[in-house]
Amino acid sequence: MNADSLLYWMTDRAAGSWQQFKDAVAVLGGDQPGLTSYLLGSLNYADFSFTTRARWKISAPTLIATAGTEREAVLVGARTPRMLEELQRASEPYQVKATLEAAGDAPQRLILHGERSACDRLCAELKVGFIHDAPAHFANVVYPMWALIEDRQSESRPMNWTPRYFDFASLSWLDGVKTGAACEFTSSYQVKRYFFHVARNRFIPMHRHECVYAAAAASGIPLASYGATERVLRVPTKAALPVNYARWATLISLNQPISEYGFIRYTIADATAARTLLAYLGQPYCPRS
Amino acid sequence: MNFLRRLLAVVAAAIGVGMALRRSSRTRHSSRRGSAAAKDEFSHGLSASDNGGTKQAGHEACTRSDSTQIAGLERTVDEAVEAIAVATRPPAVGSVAKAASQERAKMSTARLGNDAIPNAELPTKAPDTTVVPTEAADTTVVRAEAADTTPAPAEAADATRVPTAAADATHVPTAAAGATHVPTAAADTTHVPTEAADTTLVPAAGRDTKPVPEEAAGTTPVAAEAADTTVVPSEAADTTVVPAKAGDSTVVAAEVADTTFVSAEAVAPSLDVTDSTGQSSKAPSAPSNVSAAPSENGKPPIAVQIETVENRAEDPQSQPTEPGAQSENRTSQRREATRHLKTQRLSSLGEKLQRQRRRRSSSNVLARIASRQARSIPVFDEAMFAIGTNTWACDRDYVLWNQALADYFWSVPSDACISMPVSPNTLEAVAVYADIESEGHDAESSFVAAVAAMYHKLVESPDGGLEVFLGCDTSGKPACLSFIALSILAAYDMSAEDGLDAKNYYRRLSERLGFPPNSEYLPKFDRASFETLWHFLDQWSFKTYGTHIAMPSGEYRGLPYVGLPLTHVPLRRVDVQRLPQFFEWAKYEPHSVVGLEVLSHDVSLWARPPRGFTRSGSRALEDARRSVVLEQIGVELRNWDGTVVGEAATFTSVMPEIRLDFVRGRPLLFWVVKRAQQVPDYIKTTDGREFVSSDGEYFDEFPLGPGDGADLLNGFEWIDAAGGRFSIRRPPTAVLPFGPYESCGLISRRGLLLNVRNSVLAHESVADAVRSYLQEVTGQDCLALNAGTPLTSWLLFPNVVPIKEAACVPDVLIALSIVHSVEIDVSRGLRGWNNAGWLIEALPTVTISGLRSETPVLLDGQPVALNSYGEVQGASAILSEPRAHTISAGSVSRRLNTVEPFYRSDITRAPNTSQQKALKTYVLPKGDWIIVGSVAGQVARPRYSFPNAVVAFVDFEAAWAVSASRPPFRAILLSETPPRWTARRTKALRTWSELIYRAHLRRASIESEVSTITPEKRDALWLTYYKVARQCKRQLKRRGAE
Repeated sequence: MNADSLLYWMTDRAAGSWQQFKDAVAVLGGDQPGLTSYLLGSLNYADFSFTTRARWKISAPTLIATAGTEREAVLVGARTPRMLEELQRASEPYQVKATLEAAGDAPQRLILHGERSACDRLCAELKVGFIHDAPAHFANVVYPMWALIEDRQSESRPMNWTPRYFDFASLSWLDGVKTGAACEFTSSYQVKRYFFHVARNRFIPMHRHECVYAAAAASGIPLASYGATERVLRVPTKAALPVNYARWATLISLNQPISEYGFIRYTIADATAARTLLAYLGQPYCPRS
Repeated sequence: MNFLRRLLAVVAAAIGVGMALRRSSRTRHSSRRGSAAAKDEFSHGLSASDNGGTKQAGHEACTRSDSTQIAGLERTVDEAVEAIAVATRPPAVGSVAKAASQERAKMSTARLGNDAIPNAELPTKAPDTTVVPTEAADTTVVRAEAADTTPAPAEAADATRVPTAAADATHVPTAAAGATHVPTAAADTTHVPTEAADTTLVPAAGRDTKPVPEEAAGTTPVAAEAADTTVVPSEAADTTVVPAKAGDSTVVAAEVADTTFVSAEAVAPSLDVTDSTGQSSKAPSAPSNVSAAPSENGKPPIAVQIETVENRAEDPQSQPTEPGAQSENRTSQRREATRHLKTQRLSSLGEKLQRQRRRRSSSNVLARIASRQARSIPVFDEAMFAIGTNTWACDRDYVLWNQALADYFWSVPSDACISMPVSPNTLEAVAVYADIESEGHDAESSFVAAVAAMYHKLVESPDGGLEVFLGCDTSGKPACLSFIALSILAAYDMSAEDGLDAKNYYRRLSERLGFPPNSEYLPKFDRASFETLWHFLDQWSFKTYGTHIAMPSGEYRGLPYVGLPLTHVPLRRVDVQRLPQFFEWAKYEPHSVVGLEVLSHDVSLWARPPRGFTRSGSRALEDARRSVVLEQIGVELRNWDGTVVGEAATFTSVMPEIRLDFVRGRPLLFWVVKRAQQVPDYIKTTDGREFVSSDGEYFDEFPLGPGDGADLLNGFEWIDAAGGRFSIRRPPTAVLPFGPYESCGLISRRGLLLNVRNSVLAHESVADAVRSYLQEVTGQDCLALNAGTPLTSWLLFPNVVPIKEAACVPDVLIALSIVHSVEIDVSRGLRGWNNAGWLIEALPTVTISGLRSETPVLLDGQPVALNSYGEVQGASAILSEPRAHTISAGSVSRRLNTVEPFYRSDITRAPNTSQQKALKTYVLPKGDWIIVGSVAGQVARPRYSFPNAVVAFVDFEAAWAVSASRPPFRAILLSETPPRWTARRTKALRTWSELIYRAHLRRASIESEVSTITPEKRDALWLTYYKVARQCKRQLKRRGAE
């Protein structure tokens, strides 16, 4: 699938329904719209909302300074070929070098190399946002998992829907319902809904990945871990981070996340940022050293 | 003595003139009912009896009629003249008053023959009194005295038959003031000066007039025809144009009718010529011009009229003989006096008269017919039809719709008039035809928004007006077309609604243009300009395509302005809303194409009571507009999605389609349900299905489950649980063909498309029949998929490419009939934002089905090849240029817009943290922590205290995190920074010192998150902090004591 074309289409459309996104992915030859949306969401190209009326919206073009480096920043958000040309042309006078890197199934990664002040001026000229301190920015905009659990209204269990729960031992969905676990309910028309089963007949509706981490937080089960020495945040592939946390992790890591041996690895140089993320995620406290 | 007597008489006459003038002004306010009384009195010869003016009763009774004023004035003139004459001549035998009375009696009698209105009640027999002499006919004055239809006694007729006053130019012919004697048999002509529209005209058959006698009609067919439509001034209600015996005069009327259609400019000079020479051939239209003298010529209408009458009076040919004629001397004296007064008063009175007449005429529909017929057609400069003459109406959406509408309505060559039945479904068809997509809106909303935006932007601007739509846009299409289409759409809306009359057109137009319902008027909307736009479009159509657009006729002929759009919507919304019932009754398939003959037959059967259209719709179906109606029904059928709305919109049923897609080689089926306008965006059916519409236009797709196979086979109806007002239903089917879909995959269709890739879903029970049928139409074996389908007991035959029709289609497989028409489908591409077209980054595949051999396929005029599946080859190179493209195959063509992706910065807002205050983040283990900085007084509490950890954001460099409120008491070193003293006496300083002091006293465990510091150094650093804290505490205590 050509993810760049998809991004151009999303830029032109600006917003749309989940159905339109699914169709667009299918038109471009993709067959996993869910994975594609996760990828685009985690790279801050678009925001996806999976409420009753699932929709998406393109993010504004924004330059994000890479945490742990002084001269590198990544451009995310809306993008068109003409905008890229304009960026290339405008960056030269500021001694800023723009390069495009292939990024697998994601749109190409546009990296700017240059002084922060020069990038500042360039962004001002192009009317592009610039996030200097990505960890602090995400810590401000991401909703902590505990707050999510406390704030959401619980619902009763959907009747006549087929339930499954997430088993932390096997990291897979098993049939049935379990208190304190993430639950999936499927209707006879293949409509799925996800809940964090707090207590008897108390189900907090959440997104698929959120409810897994909510259950893990409530149970104190470690899913993600940060190695201070190797500076890597490891997350099981079968329990991927909620998309906003994935965005946080991706955009403060030095390079693209890597999926290997059943884990997604984010290389995060800033330990405090990684620990903050884990704290927000409800994962056990990770000491500084 | 004589001199003194004369002088007194002159003074008395002058006083009489003044009184008469006052009285004449009063008569303006008298009632019409009084007119009859006055006429009765007049008819008994009372009017001429009193001295110094008219009888008061007669005057007061003499109505609001404008002519009365003039009659009064005339009378005043007569009196004045008489007084002068009496004063200046030797006294006769008897009293002066008696002589004057006799004299005036004669004059009055004579005048009655000429002045129709006030004296119209004179019992004159029309044939005897109203015949316009041929000479008079030459001057085209149809005498108003032809008026009274009341049979007159012979003697009275004799007394009045000689229109001496007609010859007498000093008499202002009152009826002639209303002398808009435009005998408007003008129905079939239109070239009338615009000014003539101001005249008030009523048909001769109306009011008090008598129908044309048969003999008159019989003797002069032309006259009879004219009589049918002859129009006389409303003021001349008591008069008739066509006398019973007036074969000649009726001819005159007809001639006049013919001669009224000259331009205003051409008329003015003809007045003198005609009147002086009496040559009818030169200027037969003088009367009409007299009455409708253009104000631009600088002369008030009345003045012109007077002049004409005078000229005519001077014409010996046109002057009838007068048995009781007065002496020339007397006549000249009267003329002198009349001129003097007329020049002073008549001009202003005439203007008032004209204004009043216009006002009155506005309420007269029939008069409007004539005024409309009398309206001139503007002739536009050739240059206005050139490409790009209109550069104002250039908004992208507006121009797009303009071009689309022109392409759609003028795409089929026709000898008949172009009709534009603009309706929501037509707009949908136009959008599809022109490849316009509206994001989240239907085509109607998108179109209306585009035109309304243009109206507000251009027409409403200070220099604006409807004229801004004149000219052609950059594609050579009339810039007014979209606006006119909107005006037709407003006419389409006309039906009885709550609080809004069915006939209220302008309110609907106003609402369509986005004005609030309570707005009083349409800003900058000028009806004359509106009509001009229609003429421009008509002339453009004729110049470009050789065909006119449909113009009002029949029942709409009499509706100026509104008739224009109404002509194009023979079926209005209320009728169109009944069409789905007809379609269902006739068992038509949604989106199907039915021949006009079949449609005509079926609709005739259906439209019988109690079914059928509204009265106006039924009339349209029965008159000359039937073909337009049938075409409109055909368009609605092609756009019908199977939705049936019950009576009074109480029930809406939608027919879902099924999309077939292959995901990793596995066939998947999805319900595709279009959301009808009345249907809410969330429906839960009685059997628990939920339909949610995220984009407004369609409900979100969801896959078919194994159990849906039975529903499909047996047909189903899913009714919404909340109220049962909506349902989703499909008829039973055992076979389902799939064809190209705009998005990915294939969509269920009505029939197999020739020469392109189809798929067929068939139930097991008909699998053999399907297999053999497909073999026949494709010429090869068609195998069902091994993987099966999501539906139990159903088989899927993919890649079915029919190449011919079957000799016979079994009834059970009728749904697999071959579609005969050529269709151009666009699929597997990505569309851009609202109306933008296809993105060049993801161009679609163009498929042409139903193409017979050797039909060339052209893309932007260049021939292109098709592969074996009907897909256009090599289109990307052409389509990648962002512009409008046209692909055509035979007589079918479709437009494709391709665009570059575009980012609209106003939709999203970029965050910018460069100006934000930098905060440092600290993550701590669970506990009741307070963060302290190295500078005394720097204290902060954490933002989050989770069960697993604590997160703090502080705007200073934190040194320690201290937990001293409850055990375990702890202090964690966060940075290796020595403490600094500050003399600030603040509450924070007290907290800072108290916290460290208390933690030290409570022997808090000292820990460190700084890996580079040794425990000894850490403890020493903590001790330093303790000492500073203690010092602060003492100083604070000392200051407090002081």
